[in-house]
This record gives sequence, structure tokens and C-alpha cells, in this order.
Amino acid sequence: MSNSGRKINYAVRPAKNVERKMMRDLFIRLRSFGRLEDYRYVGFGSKYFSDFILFHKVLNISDMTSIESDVHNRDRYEFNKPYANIKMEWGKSTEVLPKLATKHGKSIYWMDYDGAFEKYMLEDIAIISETIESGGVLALSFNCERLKIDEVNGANNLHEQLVKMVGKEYVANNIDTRGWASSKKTAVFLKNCIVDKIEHILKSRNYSLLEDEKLEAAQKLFFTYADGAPMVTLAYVFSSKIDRSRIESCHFSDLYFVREGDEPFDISTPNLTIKEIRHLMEIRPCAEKVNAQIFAKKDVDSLWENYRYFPGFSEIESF
Amino acid sequence: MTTQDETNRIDARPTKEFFISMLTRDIATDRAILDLIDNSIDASQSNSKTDSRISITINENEFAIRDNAGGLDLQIAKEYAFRFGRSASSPLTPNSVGQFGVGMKRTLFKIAEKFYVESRKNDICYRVDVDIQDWVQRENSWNFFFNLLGKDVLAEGETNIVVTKLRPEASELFSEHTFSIGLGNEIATAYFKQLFKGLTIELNGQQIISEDIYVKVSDELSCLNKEIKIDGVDVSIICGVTDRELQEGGWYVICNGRLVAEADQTVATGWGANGVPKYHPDFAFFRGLVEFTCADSSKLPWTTTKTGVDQDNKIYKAALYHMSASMKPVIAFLRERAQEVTYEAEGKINSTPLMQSIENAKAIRIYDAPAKNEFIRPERVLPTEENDKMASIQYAASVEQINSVKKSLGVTTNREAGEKTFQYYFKYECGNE
Repeated sequence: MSNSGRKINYAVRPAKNVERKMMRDLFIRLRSFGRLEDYRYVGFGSKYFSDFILFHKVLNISDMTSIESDVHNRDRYEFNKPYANIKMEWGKSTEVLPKLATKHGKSIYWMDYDGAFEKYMLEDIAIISETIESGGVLALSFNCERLKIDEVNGANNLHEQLVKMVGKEYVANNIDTRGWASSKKTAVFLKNCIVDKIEHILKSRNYSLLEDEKLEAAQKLFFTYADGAPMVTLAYVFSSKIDRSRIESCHFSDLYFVREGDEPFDISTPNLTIKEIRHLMEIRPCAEKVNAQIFAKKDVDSLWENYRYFPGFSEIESF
Repeated sequence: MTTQDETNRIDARPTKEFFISMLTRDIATDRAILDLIDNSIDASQSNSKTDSRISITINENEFAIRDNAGGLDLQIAKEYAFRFGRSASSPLTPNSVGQFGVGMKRTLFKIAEKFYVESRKNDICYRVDVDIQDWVQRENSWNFFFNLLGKDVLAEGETNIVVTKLRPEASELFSEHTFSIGLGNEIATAYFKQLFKGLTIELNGQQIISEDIYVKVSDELSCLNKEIKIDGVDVSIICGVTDRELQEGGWYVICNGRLVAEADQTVATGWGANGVPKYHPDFAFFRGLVEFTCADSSKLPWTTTKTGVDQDNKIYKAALYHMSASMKPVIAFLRERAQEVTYEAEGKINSTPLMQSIENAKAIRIYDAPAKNEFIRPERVLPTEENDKMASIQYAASVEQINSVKKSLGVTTNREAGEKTFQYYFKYECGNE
């Protein structure tokens, strides 16, 4: 889908920027599975192609495909492509993925949806899970606002909203109505639907595979962040039984932001000036040197946690 | 352990009436008749005959099916063939179509009050005569009885099943001309593969012609072909496109040569699940064939009535994954073809490579399609952006209302009325876009 390029320039969204670099560090570790330059990257480049630029520069991936539904402005997207080797595929993801998914080889998919979760995303997940190879990654980002539940008829209302989002087969008719005021509850619910879908596909796929070839998907990322609207990102690494030792040698869990369960890693970005950042970096890690009159603890913590990924934005005259 | 004697015995035997009603309830008469053909085919297979002839006579007074498939051995008839359900000790027929040991009995109980089965094999000719009412009344005996016949009654290898008295419902059904036409069509599709290979089936003296499945292929349009082995069952999946035919689009499922699902357009064959859209007229070009072959026919994913697939069968689930993945690129192509038609109708494109590729390809039997492990297709043409930025709106309104709008706008043509009203609405309601 991806048409939010019109709405916002990704490059200046700090949490998104941090997220992208964390994903880069996750992908670098896939080296145990094979040469990164042999991987294919499939994403929604929009007009900025920020993810494409980063993954090409750092991972040296050249086989890149950007899915774009804004068919009416094709020339503009082609113009904005930073590298000629990026192939544009025009249409909605659900219509384009069946064509892309048949291609052999290891792939990284980042379906960075710009809207709230919708049923078609589960279809996309099914299409990708049907063909993704061992060593492949499926990452998904979507908007995850907390649900607004009507006080009068909470259960019905909640049920209806969830069914609309994911379909009847994922919503129990006696669903517990408590706790939905937090967007984490919705995030975990959606994560479970996604896992169900992936596992359903892998189960039928595994029936005709030899014992060593049988695939499983392991969750590695569960991010929450908000540059504006609250977002969720999930990433799954697929591996066959015979490749289990490779996935272990990736040592994903050494990355402090890796999350394999229901507790998300929240990417918080501090609201600090350049001068403040410089000062805080000089005194790090001595918390006692922080002037509490100037700095909020929350800002200091989030800077010190993610400083390696924190972007340094500054204004430039572009013409 | 509980003692077991007459004093504490509880009678749990099935009644024959219940048995008959359960057995015959869930199968349509025409499909039941196919079960008898299945038996003939199995016989010719186990006797390695490739040119068998099956003749069926059907009208309001009679039903008979005669074949020269090799005959039914008397010893097998005595011990196995007439038992209800296949016993574990019964000899196996590799790659058989009859599997459940209910076919012949179910069909005859459904349509007959009196029937006989006669056969000659190894120069022994015999007849089993059954009066069903009489048999039901003999509560404690499940036996049938046979008589030996003179050799002149049948030729060696022949079997003849004759209903001497039809049940009234069957007689009524068989009197309808459309019933025998429908039955002929069912036979033509269910056995299209065997009919092509040389089997002859006659219905009321007319030979039935194979209803084959075709796909269109060319250098720029291919048919995807995949062979896999799942737990000892050979599965072959072929899919591609041919001319549009709404009723015929979908999946054809074959078990040991017998078609069990024809043009399936439901979720049972993957439509509307896991990224495949629901069946739709745009996909009426699609033809898919999935064939399961196994010496042990109990592994095959068919239902006992052979009118569909057993979706809970593990082998079927495994095959369904491959079907779903194989059909996706074909469906993507057909979606783009539908879009191409729209673009062309709107005058946004001048060439239609996708439509042309189907038109120009040559129709061949789906079995003759060359094996390709990918779906080859031409690239689509998208409208140039200038063409794509304009679109027309068309709608009808009452002449009276149109005239009053024209008068209010001070214009004379309908086109102007349409354009001005659109501009008016856009200016006041969408002006900030």
C-alpha cells in the first residue's frame, strides 16, 4: 500500500530513524545464513527510499524491490529512486506480492504499512510465509492506536472492531473486554493473530518437507514507538531445522533491543537540543552529574539507552 | 471383567433397515451409479485390461451394467465382494478407485428391490440373486446365495448386474430424459482420463466421449507444473489459463484417475484463503488440476461418496499448500488482465498484451502441457501518466431533472451540465485538497 510519503518525510521521524538502524543491526547478523549481498530486499520505499539507502549502503544488497500503490505518479517515484537497481512494482501489496514471492533466494521483507492494521495485511503475511526461505526475514510495521470502546455495550463494540481488523476466525465470541485502553493490549492481540497466520501456513508447508527442511519462524523484534501515531514493528526470522545452528550463531539476543515475547521494546526519543545532547554524552554514564533542574530523567535515560542509534538532525539549505 | 452371558446381554446389533437407510442416504443416485463403474474399472485394472467396455442400460423399467473387465472370482465374491465394508484381510487392488467396500451394495440398495449379479471368471459362471425385502426380513442372517450357471450365459471375463425390480423412486427418476443426459455428462467428466486412454463406456447404446480439460500455452504463456511425493502419495499439480468459462474455472481434483471434484471454486481448493481471493468471474480463465496417485488408495483424500475432497486429510493439506502457492502468480496475472480491460475501455492504453497472449495461445489437453516450474507470462502495459490522470464519470438522471439543472446553469448540453455540477461540488466541498 504505502502512500504516506505524501503525508510525512520519514527521514525526520526520530523513532523511525532509530528503528531503521536497529533493523540494520539485526539484518547484519544474518551473515551466518549466507552472503548479505545475495539477499533480496522488498519494501515500501515511498518517495524517500530511506530504508533502501541504508540497507544498500550497509548490507550491500543490490536486488531491491519497492512496492508502490500510487500508480498515478510513477514518474515521480522513478525520479526519486536513489539507485537504478531498485525495481518498482506497481499496485497494492496483496496484488504484487504473489508475483514477487515466487522468486527463489533469501529475502528480507519489510512491510512498513502506514495505516492501522487491516485484514489484507494477514493475506500479505500468508503470501510471504508460503515461499520465504530459511534465513529470510519478515518484518511488519503498522499503526496501533488504542481501541475506543463504547461504554454502554463494550463487549459487542470491541468484538466488532476486532473482527473488522482481523476477521472472525481470530476473535473469540466471549473475548475479555478488560485492558484494551492500552495500545499494548491491541499490539499483543495483533501479534498473536500474525503468529497464528504464519504458523498455519508453515504447518501446511512443512507437511511435504523432509524433517531437516521443516521451517519455523522466530520473533526477534517487537518495537513500539510513536513519532506521532503509536506504531508497532515485528520481525520474524525463518529457519529450517538444518539451519538451527546458523540462527544460534547469529546471536540475535546480544542486541539489547531484541524482544522474543509479549513485552515490547519501546523506542523512546528524548526531546533535547544539540547542546544538551553533547553535554549528556560527555558525562555519561555518571547519573549523579546530571543537573535535575535542566534535564528530565526520562529524556536522559532514553538518550543513554539508544544514543548509538539516535539521529543528529540539523537544518540545511537545500537550494 | 464383567461376566458375559445371556442374563446380562444387551442387544446392540444394527437393524438391517437402519443399515440400508444410513448407507444410501447421503449419495445422489447418479453418483451412486458411478460407484458401479469404479468397480468395473478396478476389475479391468487388476486384470491389466486397457480396452474394457462398460455398457449401461437405464430406463424407467430397468437398470443394467455389463462389462468385460475380467470378471469377479467366485471365491472373492463368497468371502469379500459382497461384505459391507472392506475387511482387513481382503486382497488389495493396487491403485484402485473402489476403496471403501460399499459401492456396489450402496448403489443396488438405493435403486433396487430385486437384483442379480452374474459373472464368469476362470470358467466358473455364477449368479447371486437378491430380493432385498426378503433379505431384510431374515433378521439373523446377512448372507446372500449364489447358483452356478451354464458357461453359455456369459463370455469369460464378463460381469453383468441387472436390477429386475426398481424401487419406485428410482423408476421415476430414470424415466426423466434429463436424468440420463446428466448421468452421461457426469460419466464424461468423472472418467475423462480413462476414456481418453481407451476405456469405452456406453449409456443406452451411445458411446460417451471424454470431457477433457484444456489449457492454453505458447512461448509467452506457460502452464505451471509441479510434482511432489507426500507420504508415499504422488501428487501432481498443473495450473494455467484458457478461455473464460465461468462454470468451468477452478480446480479439478483427481484420485487414482477418478475425478472427485470438478471446477471447484470454494475454500476447499484454496479460494478465498491465505492471500488467494475468492473465486470471481475475472478468474474464470483459471484451470487447475491436482492429481493424487497411490497404490494404497486408503491414503487418498476422497470422501466415501467421491464427490469431493476430505479436507482433514494430511496429504490433502500438504497438497493444498502447493496448490495455493502455484495458483497465486496465475491469479495475479488474471487480476492484471481484468485491469487491462478497464484501461482499454477507458482509452488509457492502446495495446492489451495480456488479453492477446491468451487469445494467441494454443489450447491443448492439460496433461499434454509441457512441464514448467514457473508461470511464464507477458508484462502488462500501464497507462501513461497523462492518460491516467483523467477519468470519466457517467451516470443517468431523469430528463426532467437534467433540464432543470441545465436551465439553472444556463447551458444547453448534458455534458456541460455534468461538468459544471462537478466543478461546483468540487469548489465548495473539496476545494482545500
